[in-house]
Amino acid sequence: MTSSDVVIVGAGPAGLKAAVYLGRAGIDACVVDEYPVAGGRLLGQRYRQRGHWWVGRKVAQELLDSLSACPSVRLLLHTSVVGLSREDDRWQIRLSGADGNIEAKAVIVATGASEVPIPVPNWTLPGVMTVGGAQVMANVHGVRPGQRGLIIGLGALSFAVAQELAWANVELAGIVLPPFGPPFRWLGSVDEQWSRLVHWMHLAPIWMRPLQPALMRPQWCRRIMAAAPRRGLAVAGTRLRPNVRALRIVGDDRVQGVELVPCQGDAEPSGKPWVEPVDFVCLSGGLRPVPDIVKAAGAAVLESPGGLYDVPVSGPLGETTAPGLFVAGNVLGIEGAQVAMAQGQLAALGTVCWLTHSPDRSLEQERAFLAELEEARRKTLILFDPAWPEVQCRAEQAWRSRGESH
Amino acid sequence: MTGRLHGIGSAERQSPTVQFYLDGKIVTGMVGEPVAMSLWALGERTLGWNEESGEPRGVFCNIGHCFECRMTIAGQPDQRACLYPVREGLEVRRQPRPSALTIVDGMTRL
Amino acid sequence: MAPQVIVIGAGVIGSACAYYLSQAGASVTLIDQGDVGSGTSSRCDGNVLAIDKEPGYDSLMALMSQRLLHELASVLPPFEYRRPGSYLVCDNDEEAKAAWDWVGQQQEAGLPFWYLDRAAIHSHLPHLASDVPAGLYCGSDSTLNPLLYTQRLVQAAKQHGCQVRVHQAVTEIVVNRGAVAGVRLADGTVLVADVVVVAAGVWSPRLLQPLGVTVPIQPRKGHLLVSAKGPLFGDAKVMEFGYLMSKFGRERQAPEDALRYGVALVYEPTESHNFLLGSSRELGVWDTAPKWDVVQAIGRRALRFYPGMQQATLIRSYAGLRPWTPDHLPVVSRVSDIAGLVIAAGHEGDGIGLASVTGHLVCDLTLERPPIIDPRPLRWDRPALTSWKDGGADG
Repeated sequence: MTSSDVVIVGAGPAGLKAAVYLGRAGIDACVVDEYPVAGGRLLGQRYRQRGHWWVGRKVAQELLDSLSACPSVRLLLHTSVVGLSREDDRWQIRLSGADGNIEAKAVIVATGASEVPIPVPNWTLPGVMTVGGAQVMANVHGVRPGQRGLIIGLGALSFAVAQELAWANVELAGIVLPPFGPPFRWLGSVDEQWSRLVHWMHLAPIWMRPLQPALMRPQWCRRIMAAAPRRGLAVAGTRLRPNVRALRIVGDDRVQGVELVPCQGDAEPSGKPWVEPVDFVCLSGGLRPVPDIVKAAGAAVLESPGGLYDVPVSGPLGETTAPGLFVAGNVLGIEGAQVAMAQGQLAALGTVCWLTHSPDRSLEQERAFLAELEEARRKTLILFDPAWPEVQCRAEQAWRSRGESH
Repeated sequence: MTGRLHGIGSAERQSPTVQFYLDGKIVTGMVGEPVAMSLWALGERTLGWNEESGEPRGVFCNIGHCFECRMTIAGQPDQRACLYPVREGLEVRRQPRPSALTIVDGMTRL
Repeated sequence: MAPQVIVIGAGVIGSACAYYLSQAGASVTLIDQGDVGSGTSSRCDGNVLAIDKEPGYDSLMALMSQRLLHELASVLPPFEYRRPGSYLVCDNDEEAKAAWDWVGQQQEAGLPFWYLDRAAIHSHLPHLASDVPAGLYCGSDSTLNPLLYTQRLVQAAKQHGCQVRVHQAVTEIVVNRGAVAGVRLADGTVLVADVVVVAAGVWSPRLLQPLGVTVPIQPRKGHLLVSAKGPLFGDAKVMEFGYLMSKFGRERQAPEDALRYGVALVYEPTESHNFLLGSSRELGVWDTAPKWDVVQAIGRRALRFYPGMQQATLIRSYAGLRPWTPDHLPVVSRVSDIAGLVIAAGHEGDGIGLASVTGHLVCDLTLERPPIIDPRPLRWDRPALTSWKDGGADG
């Protein structure tokens, strides 16, 4: 058993940013991550935003370089946290297997997000992966997912990954809609899926951007999408095919193709199905927070309408309802790396206040960090769930009224 | 066509190539990259078989969440190949489907 | 006219009551403060045992329940039911001697028990640690998926007209002039009924106390560990004989942490090709969060009997609250002073196994039919319960 003043679970943008703050303050902190390399999902992200490149790997490297100058911070990689409980005024962080335990005064949970599954029939065949998994494969490790692929689902990552694969010269047959039926109902109607496209406009090619105001109006969005030909609209290095649905994946011991069918919106198929030959499939169902460890620790969470995900109930400095437990990053709701880093700083500040038992924290510092968070939010265009603003609002209310209930 | 991509970022990814073992057969990979990635680049697709159905399984989430890529690595079962870093001489084995649960009527067993 | 029955608690006991009552033509409303099975019935294992029951009433009730369950398995949609029998294994020679007597008594009572000597136990259970001297086997024991079983009972009850209300807590049982009138819900609504069956597990006492009915049911927390899918260590349930030693007035020999938390091996393979490991006992604890020390103690005890489990992957743990009673028999009983009040709770670790006979008996008591088993040992006002003073020794 070892001990640390602070344990940070997750070495992604939020966790690393928090670690830098604590390290510069000379505070003893241990960052734990299952991945063998630090940086989280930053490592695979790259896109053009307003004319310049944003390269996640470089951002991660900068954070790690800052950390290397902080002797009070250590990194424990390829290590899993399997339990988190409060005993005698300390947090016990249980590590997997023979890795032992760490005892800490405070914990920052920055465990990020996971992908929402789309259970297309035969989705267990080798060659079927999440769209994020393909991003990691191609961008982080430089491995080709296959010779020719298909993206099913119009989630946030569909365009980004399609573009990244195109740059890497990996052929894609297009981006199509998921199947009909009860397991896919939470994705919403076709209208809702189409209308979410507007939020990924920053990733769309230049010629499409003028369409954005039109696409923001449901009537126009529907008309534009419905008018798209079966072979699709050229976008992000591939073809967006909003009038084609996947029915099932085919193959013996690996992906050999996907059976597709033309359709008009939510109506029944409007043509004969065919098998599109591909050897890999990316499922793009969207992202959701992973606050499992926060729940296991006994802190309050709030359920989204429809119950697809939970978010921790938290305060402005990432405080949760469990003493000495803080949260930052996509685990609070998917807002991207910039917001995650801003939240990481705030959680680190909150942690320092906790450790020093000082309720009068540096208000200047807090204001500055909150301003950075607002700025990061302004620049971010991700909306992972149309209900997110409402959930965020309820979560803030739940924090403010936490002393009052029960 | 090789299983490796060359282009943006590939220079940063270079690390020495080493030999390791897949079910006793010599294969190659880059030091430090996850076992699953080395295997995928070599064209391997089946990393194991589902215990209940016997169906083949490969990489799914690639970030350690789904546990589909579990293999026996360095003698330890149920290691996530998408997380485990390759090193020289590493022993990687696919986990065969265990024998099915036999259905015996307890009243006739003895 | 069909009686109006409200069953409070949609766990395995309440659901079985609702099933048998609906089948028999009663008009039933099944109500729960949470979801179907969200109490103890989703935090347990799938044991249906006669192997650990006292010879006599206890065993015979268990056996009757097993027979009814076997029938249900052929009538309801599948719930991972199978009947592989079960084993008890002995830690040492003293336990082996006690086991020999135990088997003798059970066989005399007509139960399908067999003693297994050293050669036999290792032939049956090849993964067992080599120093285990003996064991015993009961052929009628079975296993199932407890939450699925509960859900199947409810589905079938609904097909016979049962109404189900979930996420609706009952705040009060309304009694009028010595007879049940209905129940009051949290929002103030009153549902009328001729009969109210309290099948609320550990939550039963707080519903009954205001009526002046004291039933000493207390939570007895138990942990379970869940393995990943992978190689199994046998296809039947295996438990250790040790914790039965107190029935013989003898002390159990076991490591300190096992004794502290009442840890005794339970190995249960499931149809999903993984296994559950139990078990533990902590009386009076309401918090269901798994405790690391107990999880470790269960793991260590499993390794004592199955050294090969060192390589197994455990993926999570959970804990549930067994509704304990001082004499380890449930309460399945009318309450003489309050017409229409029926209690069906206090099954401790045997809720899953005894649900079928309980449901049948509750139906018999409610509709005044000949009871399927003698209900007298299960009365709420039996001496063992009425003489119980809180703060007594751990049962």
